[in-house]
Parts: sequence; C-alpha cells; structure tokens
Amino acid sequence: MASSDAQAQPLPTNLKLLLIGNSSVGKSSLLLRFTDDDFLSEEETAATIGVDFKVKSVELDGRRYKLSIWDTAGQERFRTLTSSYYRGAQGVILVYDVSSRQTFDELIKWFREIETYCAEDVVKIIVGNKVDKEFSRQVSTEEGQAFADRMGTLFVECSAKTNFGVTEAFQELVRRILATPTLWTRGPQPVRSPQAVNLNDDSGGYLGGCAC
Amino acid sequence: MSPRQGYAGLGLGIKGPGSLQSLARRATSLNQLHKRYQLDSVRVSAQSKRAEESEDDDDEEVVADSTDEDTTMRGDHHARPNSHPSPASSTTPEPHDSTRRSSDVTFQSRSRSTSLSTPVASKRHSNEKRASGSRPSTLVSYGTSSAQTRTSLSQMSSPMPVGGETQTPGLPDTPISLNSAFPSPIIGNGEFPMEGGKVVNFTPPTGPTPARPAPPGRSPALPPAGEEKEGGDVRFWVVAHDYDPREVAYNSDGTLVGGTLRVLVEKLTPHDGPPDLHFAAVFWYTFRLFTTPEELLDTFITRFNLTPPPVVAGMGEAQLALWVERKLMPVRLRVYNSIKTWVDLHWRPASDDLVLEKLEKFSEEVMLPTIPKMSTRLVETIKERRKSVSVVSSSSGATTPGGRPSSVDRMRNSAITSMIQGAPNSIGQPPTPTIKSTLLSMLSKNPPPTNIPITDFDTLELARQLTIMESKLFANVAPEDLLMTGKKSIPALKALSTLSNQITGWVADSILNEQDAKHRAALVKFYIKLADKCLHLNNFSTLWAVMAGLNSSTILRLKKTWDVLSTKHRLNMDRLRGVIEHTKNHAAYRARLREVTGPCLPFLGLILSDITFTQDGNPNSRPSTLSPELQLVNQDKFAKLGRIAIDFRKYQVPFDLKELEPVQAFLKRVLTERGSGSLDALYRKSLLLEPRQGSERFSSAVEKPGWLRAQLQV
Repeated sequence: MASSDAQAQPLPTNLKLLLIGNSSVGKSSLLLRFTDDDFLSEEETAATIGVDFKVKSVELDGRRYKLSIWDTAGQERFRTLTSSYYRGAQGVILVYDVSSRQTFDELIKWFREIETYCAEDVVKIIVGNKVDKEFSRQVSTEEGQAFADRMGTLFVECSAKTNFGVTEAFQELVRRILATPTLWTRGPQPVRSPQAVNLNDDSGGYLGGCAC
Repeated sequence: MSPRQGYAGLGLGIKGPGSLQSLARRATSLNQLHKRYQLDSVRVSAQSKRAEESEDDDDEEVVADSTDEDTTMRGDHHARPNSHPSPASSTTPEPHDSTRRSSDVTFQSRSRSTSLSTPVASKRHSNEKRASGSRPSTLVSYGTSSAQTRTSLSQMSSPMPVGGETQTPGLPDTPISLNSAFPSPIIGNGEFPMEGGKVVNFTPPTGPTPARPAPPGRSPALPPAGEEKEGGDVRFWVVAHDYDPREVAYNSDGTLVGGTLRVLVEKLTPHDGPPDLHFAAVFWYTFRLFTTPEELLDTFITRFNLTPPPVVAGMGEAQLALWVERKLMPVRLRVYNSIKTWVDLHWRPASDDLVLEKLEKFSEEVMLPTIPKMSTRLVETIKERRKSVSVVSSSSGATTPGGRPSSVDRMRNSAITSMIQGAPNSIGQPPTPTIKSTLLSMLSKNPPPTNIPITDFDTLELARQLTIMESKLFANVAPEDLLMTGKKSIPALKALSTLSNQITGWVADSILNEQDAKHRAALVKFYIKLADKCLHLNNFSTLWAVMAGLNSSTILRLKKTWDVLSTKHRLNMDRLRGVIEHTKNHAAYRARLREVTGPCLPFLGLILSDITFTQDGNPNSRPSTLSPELQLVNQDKFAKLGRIAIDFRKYQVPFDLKELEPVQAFLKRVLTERGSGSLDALYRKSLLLEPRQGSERFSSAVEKPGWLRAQLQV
C-alpha cells in the first residue's frame, strides 16, 4: 500500500475496529485479553457492562494510537446490527476457532456482511483463535493463510487463552490501516469519537452515503 | 425483603484480612479441640429419634420456606429501587417482613453491646468478635453480649402475637418441640421463631429477665444447670461454620465472592437463620456452570449427615441433644428443602438425571427414615422422574432427555407458570382486538388467501399478535439454558433469533417488493407505526427487529422513498432510533427497560452479549485469600450470571392480550416465506429499485453479483 502517501497525511490517532465471527470463537476473550492483557477482576467486569467498545492505547513506530474495539459477542445470530454500528470502522477482525471447521467455513457469511456495510477499503484481518487447542485443530495454518490470501486480507493465528499472537494480530491490522490513507483521509467521518455518536448521525442515513 | 441481610449476622460477613486472621485462629482452636474430644456417634443416633418427633413443626417450616423462595424468585427484581412493584411480592407474608426488621434492629443492638467502633461495618465486626469468641478467654464476655441481644430480640418481637398462641395446633406434646429447638438468641434472625404466622416465644435460660416469661410447660428439655454452665459454648457452636475459613472469600463490601462448594451449600442450608433466597435462586440457576449435579448431591448428603463438632460431643448428652435440635435438624430440613427445590423447580433432565438413582437411594434410605412425613412426597417425585427417564430411554433413541417434557417437567413448568400467572395483571379483560371483521373472516377461510396486503391490518393489533408470538418463545427459555449461550445450542434461543431475523427480513423484503417510491414510503410509514406500537406494549424485541429492517442499509439508502415520507414520520423514526441507540452499551435502552412495569419483552441479543462478556471476562475460580493454592468457586461471577437469569424471569410474564388464531397462522406463513431472504439478495433488489447515485459512496461488492465467488475461485 501507499505508505509514502500516508506519511504525507496527518496520521489518525483514533481508530475504530470491529470484531466479527461466529459465536464462541472467543471474540470477547480476544478483546479482553488484548485490552487488559489479563482476564478481568470482579471490580472491572462490573464496568464491562456499560461500554459498547473497549479502548486500548497502542504505540507503533513511536506514535500512540487509540483503538476503540467494538464487539457484540453473543448477538451473532441476530441481524439487528445496522450501518450505524459498522459506520466509520477502519478495521475488521474476523475471528474463527481453529478447532471448529464450521466457524472457518462460515467466515464467508461475515465477509458478506462486511461487504454490505463497510467501506470497500476497510482493512480486514482473519484471526484463527484457540491455537492452544492444537490437539483438536480442524483448520490448518496453511488453509487459513490460503483463504486470507484469496480474500486479500491479513492473517494471523493466536490464542486468547495463552496470549500467543494477540498483540501481533492487532498490530498488523493497525499497521495496514495506517498504510491505507483512503480510510482516514476521506471526509470527516472516519475519526469519530465513538462516544460522540448521536442520533443525528443516523439521520444522515436516509440521505444516502451511509454505508460507512 | 432483602435477602442479603439474611446472612449478614451469621458470622459470614467478614471484613478485611484482620478478621480473616481471627477466623484462622478460630480454626486453629477448633483443631485443638478436635484432638481433645472424641466423637460420640452413639449419642447422636439416640437423639435422632427425638428429632423425628418434632416433625409436624418441621413440615410447617418447610412450607413456609418454599413459599418464601417462590416469592423471592418471582419478585426478586422488585426489591431493587426503580423497579415495578411485583404482583407476587404482595403475597409475601407480612409477618416475615416485620420479623426481619426486628432482627435488623437486633443486630444493631448487638453490635453496640460488643462496643466495636466502626458504625458501617458494625454487623460484621460483631461477627468477627463472635468468631474470635472461640478462644476460651472471651467466652464470658461474649455470653454477656448475647444475653443483651436476647433481651433486645425479645423486645423486638413483642409487637407480634405471642404467649398462649405459641403452641402450634396439632403439635405433639413432645419434650423437644420446635419452640425449644430454635430458642438460641444468637440465631437472631427472626425466621425460626415464626411458626405458622405465630411467634414462638423464647425461653432464655440465662441473662437478664426476658421481656416475657416462658409459658409454663414450654421449658426446654435441657437441664438448666448444663445450659447455664455451658451457655457460652452453645453459642460458639451455634455460630460456628462447618468449613475452613480458607474456603471462603469476601469483597470489601462483605459480599461473598468466592467459596468452595460446601461453603455455598452451607449458605443454602443455614441452621441458624432463613436461607438467603436471592443467593439460593442464583445458585440454582448457575451451579451447573461450576460443578456437577453429582458433586452437588454428594455435598448435600455430607451436609445432611452432619456430625457434631468434637467440642459438643465431649460435653455430654444434654449438649448433644441441643446440637441436634438447633443445628442438625435445621440443617437437615434445609437440605431437604434444597433438594426439593432442585427436583421440583430446577431439575434439568439432560444433566441432572444422571444422579437420579443416587438421589432416590439417598432419599429413601437416609431421608425417609429421618424425616418421613416430608420425604414421602419427595421420594414420590423422584420416583416419577425416574420412571419418565426410563420411558424416554426405552421408547426411542430419537427422544433425547429433555426433548419431550415429562410429566414432572410439566409440573415444573406449570409451577413456574402459575407463579407468573399469580400476577394480578390478569385483572380485567384483555383489550378487544382491533381488526376488521371482513379481514378476520377472510383469514379464517380454508385455505386462507395469500395476497392480503399487510397494510390491511391495524398496526396496534399487528403489534399485539407479534407480541403474543414472541412472548410464547420467551416463555420457552429456561433461565438455566440462557446462561449456557455460546456453550451449546439452545433451540429456544435459536427460535427467538430466527423470529427476530424473519421480522427484520420481512420488513425489508416487503418494502423492496413495491416498485413505486410512494408505495414504499407508505410501507415505511406503516412499519414506523408498528414499531411505535411495539414500544407502547413494551415489546422491545419486535421493536428491535422492525427497526433493524428499516435501518438496514438496503432500506436506508432508498433516498426517493425517504424523501416522500413526511417530517412527522421521520421524527418518529428518529425517536425510535433513540430507544435502541447503542451508545454507551445501550445505556438509554437499559434505563428504560428498568423503568418498565408489567409484561415486557427485551431485546434478547443484548442479554446474550452480557452473558457472553460475563462468562468470558471472569474466571470460574479464584484463589483463596488465606491460602492462594486453594481454588474457590468465583461466586462473584456466578452471582452476576444468576442476576441475569433472575431478571429474565420477568420477561416470561405473559401479556394480557387476546390471541387471534387466523392472524397468528397468517403471520407465521408470511414470516417464513418472506422473511428468510439473504442480505445480498435484498441488497440487489434495493439497487434495482433505486440505482446508486453519484454522491452515494457505497462500496458494496454485492452490486457485482458473483464477486465473492470470483474471489474464492482465484
């Protein structure tokens, strides 16, 4: 990608990422692991219900970025997520469980969702989670990589349980977003504080141009 | 009622590491005592005969218990501020409330008497004090403070009917009656003295003159001399727990956040106070997440076969008799009650039938001889369950356990339903359906016509019928199953998400089937109205699904359609969007949901998200504070999950609406036929109706059919 162009533009500081995938692939564990580097204490989990995204500050090549990571784990079966949820996302993390072929096969369904709701140039990464369950693996690394290559996305394997590869997955994604200036130089919407989302954002919806 | 208070005074509420140390000291002294005394099992068995004699009282107590639990499980959420008054809570026996209140005051007065300073945590400090009372040097002073407590308790009980009424009618004239079985002032919690709505008088053997003298003939069966001499020790074992202090963990508020299974089981079956009903409800909904039915049954059996602490065994028969009355019998009744609650209300055949044989053996061979009158019914229920298991397994392999409700499960269901239907929302008639008679008769034809435009329906009636449809599916969800989301496939939950998606798909599809923008706008208007009626019915589930259809990008992008819509309807649309707004994890919606009174259907997806985050964000176990190598059940996590399950019950309250069979059949057909289209198929339809405009920055590859396939075939 045009990384030299990216240098010319002011880099974004806030990035919106979405976690997507079948239920029980470990999306929320991945998120909790990445944002807290540990599982939560009871005081903290009280706070988990109350925010619709987790914020994680990361440093990459000497610059700090604030990632807001959105996850609706548990709601996978519902088609109630609409464009307002996807809007402004620069990165999508598609998660499957390496010990469940079904979760891998159904990634295509999630690609379809992304194609419908997200910008064309949104950066995607396929993440094979639960590599700690090597003994019951159903999807090989090669297979995962081949699928990612075909879809033109990044690919990484990790384990939210052991913390293997989790940081790398997010770093890869951020790097690619930073190398995709069209994502964050296009109009006012990409760098939006998620907390500032209000009803009026949606009202623009039926005037067109709402996909992302 | 506040279940949390129930346990506060029982020596469990410990604050800070200092008190834990004192508990550890107590454990040490217990061990020393253990070495000194030998267990006298002969004496225990001799006492069990006597214990049996107080059975009639026991039975009453049991009944009172289960009533209590039902009301709590039903009306639990009503205990919180801002929640609507439970129709069920009105059935809570009034005397219980006053008793509880009186016990609160009792605790306060006790903590004053123990001269501990921190006012906020005074209750717990008093417990701490009591815990440290195991050291012989503090026994005397401790006895003094409890004597004061006894006085205050008697005073507090005075407004209630006492005296001659203390004798329960039909109570056998046995030397050990229930009255004397629970006279300990340290019990202090006010429930045990209640018998059939009457206050059982106390007969304090020592201390200042009680406010009311014991009625003649009600004196305890204990030799007064022994009582006087060993009173302090009696109090000691009354407050003592049967677990090691390392097995339990509290947070800074004094809330139980961790414990071994036997700690949890002891909290379910306390000998010295009413069970914490909220805790019990949480336990029954969650125990399968951290233990197995078999382990639980074993722990119950161990608890039932409680043996006296050596300190009691060594003090002679009188003390032992007292222990049997005040500890063993109450514990056994609680265990009986708990098992009955499990079998009657919380039995999940798929997982629990495994222990049925063992449970039958235990109830027949151990419980039946000990507490025959009550156990008979329980044994019958267990036998019926076993019968239904063998029928299911022998009839066909296709019928999985739990697939078809057995007669006992129907009993469970009807028990739950009757609890729910006890709500006075059924007062008055359901509203008269608003539907044209011509439409209804057309729908009643056989076969019914297929081309009825949805706009022929009144939006309110449509909302009502969809509400009935969804409400039935919500009622099918067992709260225990709800908590298993993501762990296994739950058909009842799948049925709900399927219906939600069908409504979403149907809304979008029917709009996209109109070729004319004005017609599409009319439909959009119709669905906005429908969503609004759902909101009025507190049916957030259908509201969410309809709004998802209107908000889907396939519909939102139809500029010509929305342009035709009047400002009024656009404003309505914005208002409804505000209801389901996701900001701050749906804070606005959650607040609104809490305010709802009466029947209500929530958006299930959000509940499933909350469960997922609570499950994944918290470990199942936590290290013990005193010995970190010991892992405790992370009760904090299961209390959170249990709360979700308890809250869910209020969404299972049926609506007072009249079901129109022909409309239900029509809707089911339409939703199945029209609501299952794929997202990209709808999107293509949308693009055909209103082709992309220059300003529209849609990226969608759906526009290029076969794009995905092309990607895959590279």
